[in-house]
Amino acid sequence: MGNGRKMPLEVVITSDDRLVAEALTHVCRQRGFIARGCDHTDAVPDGQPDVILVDLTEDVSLPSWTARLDPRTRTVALYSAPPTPEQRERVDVWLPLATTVEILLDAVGGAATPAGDLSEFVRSGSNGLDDLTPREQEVLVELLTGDGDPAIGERLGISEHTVRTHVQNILTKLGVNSRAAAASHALREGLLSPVPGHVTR
Amino acid sequence: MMARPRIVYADPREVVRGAVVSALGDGDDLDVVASVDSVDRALLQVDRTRPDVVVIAAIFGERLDQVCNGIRRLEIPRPRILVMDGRGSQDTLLAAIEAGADGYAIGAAGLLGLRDAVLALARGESVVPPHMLGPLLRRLIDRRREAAHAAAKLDRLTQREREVLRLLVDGLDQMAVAEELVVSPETVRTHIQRILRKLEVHSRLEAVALVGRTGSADRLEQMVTGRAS
Repeated sequence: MGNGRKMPLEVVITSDDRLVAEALTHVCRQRGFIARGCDHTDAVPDGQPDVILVDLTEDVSLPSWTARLDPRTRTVALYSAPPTPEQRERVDVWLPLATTVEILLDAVGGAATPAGDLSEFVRSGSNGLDDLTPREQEVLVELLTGDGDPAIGERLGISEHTVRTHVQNILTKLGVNSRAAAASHALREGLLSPVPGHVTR
Repeated sequence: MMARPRIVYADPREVVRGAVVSALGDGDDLDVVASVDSVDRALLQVDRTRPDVVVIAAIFGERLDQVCNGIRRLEIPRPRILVMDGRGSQDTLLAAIEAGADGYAIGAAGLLGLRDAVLALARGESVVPPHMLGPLLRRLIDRRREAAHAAAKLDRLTQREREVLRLLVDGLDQMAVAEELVVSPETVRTHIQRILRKLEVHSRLEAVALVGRTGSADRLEQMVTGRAS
C-alpha cells in the first residue's frame, strides 16, 4: 500500500486518568477507529498506530516515548496549561479541554490524513486567554475565588473601581457576559485548576 | 424492577464530559438526562429534571460545597450525589463527604467503576473505594476526637475568657477587644495569656485556628450569648 494510510484508522489513547482514556477510546470506536488505551508511562505502543491521542491535562508531561515514535505517527494532544516549547515540537495538533468530542474526532481523523489541513484545529487551540494582559489574567484568577471586588482589590493592591474596569475588559475580550462565564472559561482553559479537596474551613 | 436511574452529569471539561456521557449513555442501564459544565447550570438542570443521581467532577474544587448546598436547598426529592475524581485523594474524599456527597468514585476505576457507583447510589447505597475507606474513617474519627477535646478545653475557660476568645475569632486585636469589653489592654493581655494556657496553644493565631478547625465557633458563640441573654 506504499505510504497510503490503512483504513480504518488506528488510534492509541493515553491518559493518566483511566476513566478519561476509556471514555475517549469509546468515542473513537464509535467513529469507526480502531482504538485502544495505553498506560501513560508505558513504552512505545505496539504496532504502528496512525495517531496518538495524549491527555496532557492536569499538568501531565508528554510521555517520553513520544520522542521515539515512528515519524509517520501523528500526535494529537489535549491540554489545559500552555504547552512548553519542547511539547509544541512533538505534538501536531493541540486541542483545549473546552473542545467538543466532535472536533476532537475530526482532528484525530484529520491528523492521519497526510494532506490534512491542520491549521484550523491548531487555531481552535487559541483560548482567548493570550489576549489578556498579565494583570487581567491575575484578576481572572481572583474571580475564581468567588470573592467580591473589594477583597480582590485588596489582594492585588488596587482599588475596587480598578478591579471592575479590569473585569469589564476581561468579559469583552473573552466574549462572555458574566463573571461566572469568565471564571468557567478560565477553568476550562486550565488557567487555574482548583486544587481538589482544598478545604478552607 | 427499578426504572433506569436518571443522571445529571456535571464537569467543566467539555471534551471529557462529552466522551464520558456518550459512553455512559451507550448502555441500557441508565439515562443521562443532562450534561452540564457549571455549578449554575447543574442546579438549574437538577431542579428541572429531578434526577436520581448527580455526578459532579471533583475538578470543581471548592465549588463542590456550592453544588451540594444548592441541591439541598432545591424543593425537590433529594438526588444522590456522586463526586467523580480523576486522580483520587484522601483530601478530596474528605471534602466531598463533608460537602454532603453520598458517594465518591475515582478515575482509576474506569467507566465500569463509574457506572457501578452510579447504579449503587441509585439503589440507595453509599460508595467509597474500599482501599480509601479505612483512612477516611480514621480522619473522621480524629476530627471528632479533636472537636471533643476542644470542647473540653473551652469548658475550662471563664465566661470573660470566652468573650475575649470569641472576639479574637472575629478578628479583633488586643486594643479592639479592650475597647469592646471596656477594660484596659493589659487586662485583655492577661486574659489572652490564660486562654492560651488553658487551650494548650502557643499563640493567638493557634487559638483561633483551634476554634476554627474543630468547628467550635458556634459552640463558643452559644456559651457566650447563651448565658448573657
